Amino acid sequence: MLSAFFHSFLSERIKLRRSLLGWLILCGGSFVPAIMLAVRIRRQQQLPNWHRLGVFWEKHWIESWESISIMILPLMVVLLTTLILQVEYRNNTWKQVHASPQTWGTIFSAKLAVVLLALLQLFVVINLGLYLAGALPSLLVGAGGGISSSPIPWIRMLARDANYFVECLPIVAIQFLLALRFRNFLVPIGIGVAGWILSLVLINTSYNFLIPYNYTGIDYLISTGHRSGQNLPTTLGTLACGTFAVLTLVSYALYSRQADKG
Amino acid sequence: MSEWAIETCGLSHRFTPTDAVLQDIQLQVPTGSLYGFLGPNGAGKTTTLRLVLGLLRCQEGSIRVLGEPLESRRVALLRRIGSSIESPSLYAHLSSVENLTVWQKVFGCPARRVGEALHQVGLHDTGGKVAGQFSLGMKQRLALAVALLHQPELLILDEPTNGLDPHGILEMRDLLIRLNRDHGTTILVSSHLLSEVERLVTHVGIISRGTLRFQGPLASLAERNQADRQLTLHTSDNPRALEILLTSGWSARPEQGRLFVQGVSSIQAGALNQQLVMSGLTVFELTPVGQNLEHQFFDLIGD
Ligand SMILES: Nc1ncnc2c1ncn2[C@@H]1O[C@H](COP(=O)(O)OP(=O)(O)OP(=O)(O)O)[C@@H](O)[C@H]1O
Ligand SMILES: [Mg+2]
Repeated sequence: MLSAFFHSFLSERIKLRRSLLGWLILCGGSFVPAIMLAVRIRRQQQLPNWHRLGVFWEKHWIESWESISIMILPLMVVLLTTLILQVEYRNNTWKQVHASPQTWGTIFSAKLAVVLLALLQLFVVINLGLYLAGALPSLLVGAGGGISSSPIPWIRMLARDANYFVECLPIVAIQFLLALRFRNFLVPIGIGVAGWILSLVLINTSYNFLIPYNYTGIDYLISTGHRSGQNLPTTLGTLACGTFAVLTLVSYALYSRQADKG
Repeated sequence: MSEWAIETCGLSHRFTPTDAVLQDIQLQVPTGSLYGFLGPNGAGKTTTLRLVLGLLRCQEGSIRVLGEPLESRRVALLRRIGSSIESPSLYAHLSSVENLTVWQKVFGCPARRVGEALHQVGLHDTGGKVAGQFSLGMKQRLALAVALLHQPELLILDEPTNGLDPHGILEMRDLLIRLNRDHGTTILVSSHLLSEVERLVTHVGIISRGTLRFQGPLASLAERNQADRQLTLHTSDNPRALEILLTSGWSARPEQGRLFVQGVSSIQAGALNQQLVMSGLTVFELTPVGQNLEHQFFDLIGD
């Protein structure tokens, strides 16, 4: 069973070669770091002061994650998931996939794993990008006396990353369900963007957890002290995991019971 | 080994509650045969094949493939089946090798099969082109290579010659005959035209408007309705010939400078000829019509 999953996973990865996925991850992941880099270079006279701060890296990270958590992550998950699942509808290949010797569970889990791997790759690009956005300005313009020597809070950053990753999962589950179901990719993208906008509208209300498109943003606001998080029935991580588990089960039930498989 | 590679029993299907697309189909594809599944557009060929592959949930009736029930043994059976349904299922952004590698991973067959399958279908030289840039014929070949990749015991090909040039059709026919003869692969091909598969298949099933109209060896199709043959005649004196025929009880009528006689078996045609010659007429032409398979085919698919 595990080997069936592994083979299916490899086959899914081949399907994404030469696709837009790599570029999407690269561009989406480096978008905010690139802006940060440009801002730092433009305000280079402030670099020495900045670098002297003992908490340079921490501040850099916190500033950058604001738009990443509220905008980039939700939208990127919507795009990544849709793009990955769209490959079968676009090429009319569901029928070939479903006529291959794989259980519905294998096909479903291999596709889900590919989406999660893409999300992980996005996190890697974002983190590398942020490091470069912090390190490069002084090297490029020669001001600020080299890379800031303030400590990089690795452990805390990785823990934050892990939180954000988990908080993306509900979006993965919803988009996965939609993208499996609808041949027209505008449906999952449209619903995804609408869900994200709705979550932005609600983000400063006590109902913000009801639309699970912005748990990352809520987490950011809580961790930076902008919101208390007292409205939440439980922790965001638990909410995210629960929503993900339930929606994934629903999604699998719908998928495996589909009468017409291409 | 079971007698039938595919056997359906009372297979019916409806997409909407009101119209039945398939009614009581008893498909019996003999193991080791080359089976032509024929019918006009919308007859239900693709729907039947999708049911046999488990792509559509079976609503009514039962399906056995390679001697085993499809429903409970789906995954194990699909390992032994190669298929291509409707339009070629290819990843347009991948090369032919990459397309095959996708399936090579799933089937877990040796990597050398990729090259072999491409060679078998005559597609070993596509350079850097991706499948989206292929011609329709090349796509059909690649789809066939996908179906052949894991050396299946049963091949199910839905209109595999669609889009192939005459040379391609010949090559495809030779390849399928070779697979059938050398590897004992049971092959089902669907087509609109009997003439396209006439020289390929050993058995035929003819479907029209969702019902199976005929099924059996190709030879038995030709023998069908022996008594109901027609022929056209051209003699040195057609009016007189008509008189002779009518007085001896034939149903004959003049048509476009010829005589058209109905209900003549091949033995009777000989007697008829003799009678005319004995009456002093010269018979220039005596052509059986409706004796070819195509006529049988159109006869069967009509109502
Ligand atoms: N998904 C579907 N929903 C509704 N009706 C369908 C669907 N697929 C097929 N049909 C109907 O079922 C009938 C049989 O279609 P099918 O595709 O099996 O025909 P076919 O014999 O393969 O024809 P062709 O030679 O044109 O490929 C048609 O009337 C078609 O409209
Ligand atoms: Mg068809």
